[in-house]
Amino acid sequence: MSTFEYLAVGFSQALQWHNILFCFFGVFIGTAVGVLPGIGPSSGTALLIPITATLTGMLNPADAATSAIIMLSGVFYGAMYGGSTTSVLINTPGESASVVTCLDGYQMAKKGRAGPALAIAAIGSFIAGLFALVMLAILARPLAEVALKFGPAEYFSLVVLGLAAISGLAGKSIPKALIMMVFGLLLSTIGIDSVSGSERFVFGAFVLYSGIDFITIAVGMFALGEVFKSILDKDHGTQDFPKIGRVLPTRDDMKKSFMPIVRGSVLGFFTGILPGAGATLSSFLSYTLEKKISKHPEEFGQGAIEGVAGPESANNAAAGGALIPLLALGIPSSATTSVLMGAFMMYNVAPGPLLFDKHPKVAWGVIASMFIGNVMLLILNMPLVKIFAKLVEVPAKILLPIIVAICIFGIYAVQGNTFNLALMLGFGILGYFLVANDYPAAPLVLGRILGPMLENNLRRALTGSNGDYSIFVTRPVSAALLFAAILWIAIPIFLKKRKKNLPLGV
Amino acid sequence: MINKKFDILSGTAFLAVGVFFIVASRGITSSSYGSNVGPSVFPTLLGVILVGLSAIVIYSAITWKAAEKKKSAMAVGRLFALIGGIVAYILLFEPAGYVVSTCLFLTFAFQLMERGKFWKSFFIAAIFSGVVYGVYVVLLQGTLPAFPEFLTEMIVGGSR
Repeated sequence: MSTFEYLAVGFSQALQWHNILFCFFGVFIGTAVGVLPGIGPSSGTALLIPITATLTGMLNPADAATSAIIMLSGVFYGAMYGGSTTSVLINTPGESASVVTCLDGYQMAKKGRAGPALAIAAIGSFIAGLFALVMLAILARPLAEVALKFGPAEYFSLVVLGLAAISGLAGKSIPKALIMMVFGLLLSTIGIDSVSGSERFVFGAFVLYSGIDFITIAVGMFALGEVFKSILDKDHGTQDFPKIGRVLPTRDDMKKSFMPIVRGSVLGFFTGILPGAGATLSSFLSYTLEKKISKHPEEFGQGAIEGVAGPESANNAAAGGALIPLLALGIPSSATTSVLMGAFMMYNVAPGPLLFDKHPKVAWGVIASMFIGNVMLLILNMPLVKIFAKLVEVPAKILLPIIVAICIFGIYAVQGNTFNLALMLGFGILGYFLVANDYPAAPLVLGRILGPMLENNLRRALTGSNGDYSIFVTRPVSAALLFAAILWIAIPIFLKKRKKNLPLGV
Repeated sequence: MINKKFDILSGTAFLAVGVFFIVASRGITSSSYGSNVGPSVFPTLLGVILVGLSAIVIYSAITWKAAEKKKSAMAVGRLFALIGGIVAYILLFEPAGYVVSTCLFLTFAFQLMERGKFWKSFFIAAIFSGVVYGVYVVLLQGTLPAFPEFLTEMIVGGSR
């Protein structure tokens, strides 16, 4: 079958009425998550997993997987749209990829042009989203076919590369990021060993036999951790909100923004594919690029519409690009995609090269649903942007306790015991203190998710080589991947030693 | 900014975790049938790496010239009060049932964030817990028999 026929299969899945509904829920909640302060895309997606599980409970398992993943990916790219709203309106990015949008977006809002700024962000995001999807549809399967030829040694090294990439760019301190990653990997070894059946680190505790679930860790670290952080960081006073006014951009705005959107889309997509780089970096790169090639760079920072159009397109294209390594290789490249991967696993649909063979309906259904979701998002973010902007005004004093209550409800709904609630709280507290001291949370969650895959491939490879560890460096593809992993860690350390600042100074 | 004290403390804690996993790995019953690599190899390897990395963090913290940061005492107090509230919430969750425990917790947390307007807090808390319970139970009845204790806890209303 050609890509086109597969897409047709995908659309036949995505256009079923319940999937349209799930897609709409996903993008709607995603936009809200992007807009609401104190809750980012990774915590939003993690929080929604239990709720999605409840909602899809009425479907048969195969359909439930498709619907749930359609909804959760909707949250993922919906949050990318919504994140720009707070940047423009109150100069507070809803998620890290929208940091640069503040620079010119907020200035535009101050000049009474909040409407066009939001509209151009939505239009740019839409075009970029479509571009990334077309590329995803074209590239994902060929890439998966290459990865199918990988043996366990190559796969082991690929996972190492994925882990190294996210740790290399995750925080200020690489040793700390690596510690979190290794700690996550160690957590994944708790429970019954899937290969030999022996129990590991259980010590007779019955609740530990099935291991420490990723969702408990992710909700604790991301959602609860963020709540704790917001309580300490902000004073919860009231703020002035600018009027949005006219939403539609002028013809001149469109003309100015067209090329930045195109450049942002291409740049963002390719940055998104790179493991670890992701949406934040792409928006910085796009802003720098637009400023550099602009005929009037002095307008940047004063409310130049190009400074909103480029980065917003770039971060959405990157969100689409990030799905390629996730779907085709089973290697998530960001915190949010690792949460998405956890969701796939919960439904027994392992992302990776076999996904397109074994679960074509899920894979193509999700891809097709994103086309639909992007159209919905354009509608949600253009005519309805004024309604969503109201969400910005939801006071933290109401929102934060409710997020805690949703965390508790969600984990209890999935796990059904209070042990996991306590564990989640533990990870929340641990996560808050660790993140506050430059230990990033994402590598830990990613380590927990990729741990079993890493270990199984390690053991399979070593079984094949009779316990000879040199197999990882004597096989060329494996050696190349490991070398790339080392570079990914070594280059930032090297740059730091030379006191050069990375553009990603967040 | 680097918090020297925290780095030394956390580095030591992670070092201990690493040592713990190395030692505990030795106790795993090794039945490596069909495989050269038993179930203890991977965790032992990771434990060693963790020990190494923790040593780096401790070392760089000790050699770092200290720069401490401070948080306002009021916000810290509020954080600990919230954590205490969540602990109580979790403890009450099964004995008191979802609606009661959630309503209590939310009222407490709303009041913690901003004093006053007690009845407004209570009202929002009651609506939230009631709606969540109602929606979940409606769905539960038809489709999710996997959580029976949730329902029975609620009906019995207290005996664990």
